Amino acid sequence: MNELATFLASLMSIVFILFLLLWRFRAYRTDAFRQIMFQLRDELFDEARKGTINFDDDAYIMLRSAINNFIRFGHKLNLIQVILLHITLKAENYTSEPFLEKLKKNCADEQEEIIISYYMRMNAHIIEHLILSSYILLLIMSITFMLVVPILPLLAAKKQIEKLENYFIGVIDKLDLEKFENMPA
Amino acid sequence: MAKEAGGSEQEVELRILRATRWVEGVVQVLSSLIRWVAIVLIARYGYLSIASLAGQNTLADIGINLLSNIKVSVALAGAAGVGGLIYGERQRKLRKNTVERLQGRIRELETEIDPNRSSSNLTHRGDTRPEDTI
Repeated sequence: MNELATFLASLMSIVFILFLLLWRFRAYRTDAFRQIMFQLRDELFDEARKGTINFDDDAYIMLRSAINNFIRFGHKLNLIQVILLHITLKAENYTSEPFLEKLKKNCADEQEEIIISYYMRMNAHIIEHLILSSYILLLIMSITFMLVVPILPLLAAKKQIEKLENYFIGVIDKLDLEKFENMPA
Repeated sequence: MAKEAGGSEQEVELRILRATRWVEGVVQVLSSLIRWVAIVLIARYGYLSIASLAGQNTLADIGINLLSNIKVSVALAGAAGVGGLIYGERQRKLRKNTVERLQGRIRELETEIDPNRSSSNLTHRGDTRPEDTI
């Protein structure tokens, strides 16, 4: 009976962990992604308000629209989907003009740098979201982290030992051993 | 501009749209499968563990035994976990309330500056629209 009680208590804990992992974690990741994209959109808006870009520029409208779409469909964005979509589009032999080229075409030279920096930041946030919302990648990263962390101090210690060794070798090299030999006992 | 060997541009767009929907469907089925498999496995093992005692003990016996075997440290750890979950949910609700309170004002002020301002089309509380979950 004691074993059964332990088993049932463990089962309840597993249910709780799975609930957090399969339901709440996903919702949290979507909200966190949306929050960071809203922040990016606000910063882009402020750039236009300051006058560095125009609200009517095609590049501004395109980039804001792209950010809006990622916010709206953030709940559907995941690594498996991106991989499957990539495979499907390749199989369909689909090619389209890259978004970056479209952006460059639609903005003035002096605004290109600002628009591209926001575009790059948007991509960085998407990649971060794809990695952090993937259970498989997180698992691989955690295992790698757990393996690497104990090795790092060992590697650091090995380097220090080598330094110490080189230092002593230097000191020993300078010693005049002949003098030692000729020293009276 | 979308291009493909053979077929008009409209046909290609249609095929891509279909492919996108297919991928979405596959991903949705996969994630549902993971969840349901987890639920079924837990239910199965829970049932099997209780069924192994069939005829020997009543459910009340098992319940009393389970409660009497729980150590204070385990109960406290469980309470900390559940408490953390409730705290997180409350904070989430509070954040959604703040979003709901501020979003109208932000939209109004920003539209004054940029009349063509586009929106993310989330709900007033910052949630996914029900039609987008399909």
